Amino acid sequence: MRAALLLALLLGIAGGAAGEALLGVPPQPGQVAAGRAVAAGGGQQGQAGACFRCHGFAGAAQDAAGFPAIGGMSAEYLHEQLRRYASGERRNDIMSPIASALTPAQMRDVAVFYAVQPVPPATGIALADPALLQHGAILSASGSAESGIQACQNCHGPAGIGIWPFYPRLAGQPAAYLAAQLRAWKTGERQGVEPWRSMQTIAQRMSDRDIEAVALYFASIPVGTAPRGVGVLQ
Amino acid sequence: MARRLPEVEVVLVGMGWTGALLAKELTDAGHRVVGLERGVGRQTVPDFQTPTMHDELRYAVRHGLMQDPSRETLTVRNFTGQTALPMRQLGSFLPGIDLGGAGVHWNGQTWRFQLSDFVLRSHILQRYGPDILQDGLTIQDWGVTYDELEPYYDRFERICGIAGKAGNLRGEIQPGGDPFEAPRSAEYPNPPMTQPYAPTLFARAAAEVGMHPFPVPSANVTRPYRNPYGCDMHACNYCGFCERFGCEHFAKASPQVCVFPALLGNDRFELRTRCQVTRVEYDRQARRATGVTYIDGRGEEVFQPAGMVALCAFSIHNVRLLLLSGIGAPYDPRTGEGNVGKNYTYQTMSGVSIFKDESFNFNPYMGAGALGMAVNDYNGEAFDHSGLGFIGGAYIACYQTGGRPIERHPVPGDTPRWGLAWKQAVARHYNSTISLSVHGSSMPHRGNYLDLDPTYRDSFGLPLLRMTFDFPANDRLMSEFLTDKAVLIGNAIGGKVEAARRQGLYSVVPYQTTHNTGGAIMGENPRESVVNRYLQCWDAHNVFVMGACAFPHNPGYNPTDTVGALALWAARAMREDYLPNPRPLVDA
Repeated sequence: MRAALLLALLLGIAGGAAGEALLGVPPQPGQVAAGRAVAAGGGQQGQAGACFRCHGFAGAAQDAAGFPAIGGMSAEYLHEQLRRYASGERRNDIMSPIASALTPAQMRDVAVFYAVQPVPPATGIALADPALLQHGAILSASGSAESGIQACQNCHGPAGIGIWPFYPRLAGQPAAYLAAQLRAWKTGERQGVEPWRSMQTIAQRMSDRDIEAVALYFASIPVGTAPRGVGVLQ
Repeated sequence: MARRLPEVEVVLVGMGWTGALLAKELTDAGHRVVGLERGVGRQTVPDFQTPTMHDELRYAVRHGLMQDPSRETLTVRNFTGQTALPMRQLGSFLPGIDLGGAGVHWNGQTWRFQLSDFVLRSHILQRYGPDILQDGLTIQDWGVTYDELEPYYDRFERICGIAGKAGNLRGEIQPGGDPFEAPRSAEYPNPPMTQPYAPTLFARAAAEVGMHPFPVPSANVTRPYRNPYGCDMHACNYCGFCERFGCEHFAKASPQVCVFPALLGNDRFELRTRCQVTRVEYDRQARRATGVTYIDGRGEEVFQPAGMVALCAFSIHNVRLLLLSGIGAPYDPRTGEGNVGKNYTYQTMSGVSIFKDESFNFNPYMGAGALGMAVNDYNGEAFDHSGLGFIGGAYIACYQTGGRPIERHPVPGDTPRWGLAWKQAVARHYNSTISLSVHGSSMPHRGNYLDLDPTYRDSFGLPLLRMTFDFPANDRLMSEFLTDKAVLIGNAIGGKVEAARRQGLYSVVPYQTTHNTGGAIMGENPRESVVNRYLQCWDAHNVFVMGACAFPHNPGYNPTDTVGALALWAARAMREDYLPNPRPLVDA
């Protein structure tokens, strides 16, 4: 799929039923500026809902707090997560009220703003048990026959760089963030996307050690460049 | 001298779909089963994982999951007057190899046949009289009815987790499904796939011209699912790598996903890989098999005595094994005598392309093997053939199986075949072209058959199978008629419409489909068939023959659903009737 996707991108093709406004149009400087204003606290919640207070203007990760790196993530992915926080499909005590307070235009603008930021480098190299890291690497690259889990990289791209537009980047995300998401899927606290429920299905088959291992693995690997869509992101 | 092993109760030759199903059903009933696979073992993890699996050059172009024609192939000709030559590169069809067989690289298009297909000769004669049958067509009734098979269709579809919408539930026509399908006892186990833009336009246009579109029944499952064997499937993510590839997501039904997790590890089952069966040992006096002889991975010849043998290899290989083993009389096209090799049929394919303007973006790389919409208004006996001069039909489908960069390059017919203009045309049309498949039936003709080649041999020194085949006039007329119907839909979609019609002799070079059927057909009596209604050999009651080689003709549908249903139907007969009391299950 990636190769086909690349070809399509080289051909200058982008589009699809979902998010036409986000997919087909080059980012307007005005939209980026409007998004920056939202990030700076221009949403309905004002400074209480300012993205930059946790995510910075670069959208870098904060390892200690477990805040994910959102800079350079696809606009479509970021927009979808904001939509889900707002609708309650994805729940988070901090993000849900902030996203709920955004207008549809603000949601789009701020998604585009963070999408056009350079991909932040990984901040922390995990000092972990090498055997555990190796276990995470194997799950990432080939999955587990015993547990019936496919490789993470099937969808999230080689070395976890993400596949534009809907599969998020895992490389360089804080281990605490990744592990928390997998645990939330495993317990059902975070619901999968209907009707596929892919991440829920996978997380339920992972042991606590599996979760710790893949989280540490993706946190520890260098962040490579991912193919990006034309239009919004260039 | 072959090394002789201790006798086993049941030996299965080939471990694809039918071998896996029989092994599971028979071991569950307490029988001890040995499965012989000529290829190597493989499983979803790690063998089908990306990025290795998403290698179009290795798997789609160089046929990485298919049998190696330098070791074993067949010879091909169109007519008996020609000298058949070996097929040295795979082309028209792609037999799989290794554990799971073609069940690993199939697309997952899972169709039932029509009520009339199982009683075709009686039905055609009753509805139209004998004049509609062209000279030389050797259609016949199957010896089993749709109603008998229905529970086994249903069970196979549950084992595969088929995603679809029923069109006929116990005789009640259902909106959104195929109104021409045979009655189902229950809805599909999973909801249909989400349709992309191109199939949606196709469906709209087909409805405009009065046809009845519906989502193709798909073995690419649409939600997490646990099958009756307790095997778990995950949802398909439309990655576009089904045909010719293994599925990395546990999402496409295969023996690996749907059967082996519940079979391997059972101590009543033993799997032996790299074991190429060269013949079934047949005691002509006793009219029964004593076991099978194979060459193992070290090149040693081994005799495995067995109480019962089931041939579960690919259909043409099953026919060849029968011929190599001397079971049943080889078919003679001059006299019409003999049955092994008779009624070899294929699939009569054509296509229509609709080139839209550049404002259309179909994103063909977002696909799945059975993702698409179809119409059956002109398939089988869904329409009246009076005055048409042919029998049979086709489904017309708009599939979106994947837009992989090496092999997808739709361009109008007047485009140069190479160079700058070709490249520009590919860039122009890649994302804005709709392709329709016309998936036509294949009627048996007395001149189309399989036998052993008198000249060419495989790497073990055994005669190759020889295929004598060309499309009969009946099927050419059918294909013209159906292609016109697809053009009609194409015109309703709008754009530059081009048909790729069925012309010239059958060629083994361009890929058409791996639906090689017939050659060891089922039927009501030993005069005109190789196996009875339970797929049991008339000439050896302890030999059963699975697969599409049992089809007396090939209807206008993909064969796998019927192959699975027949295997489960035969498994019931073996389990409950034959193995407790071995004997011919039908009196000759």
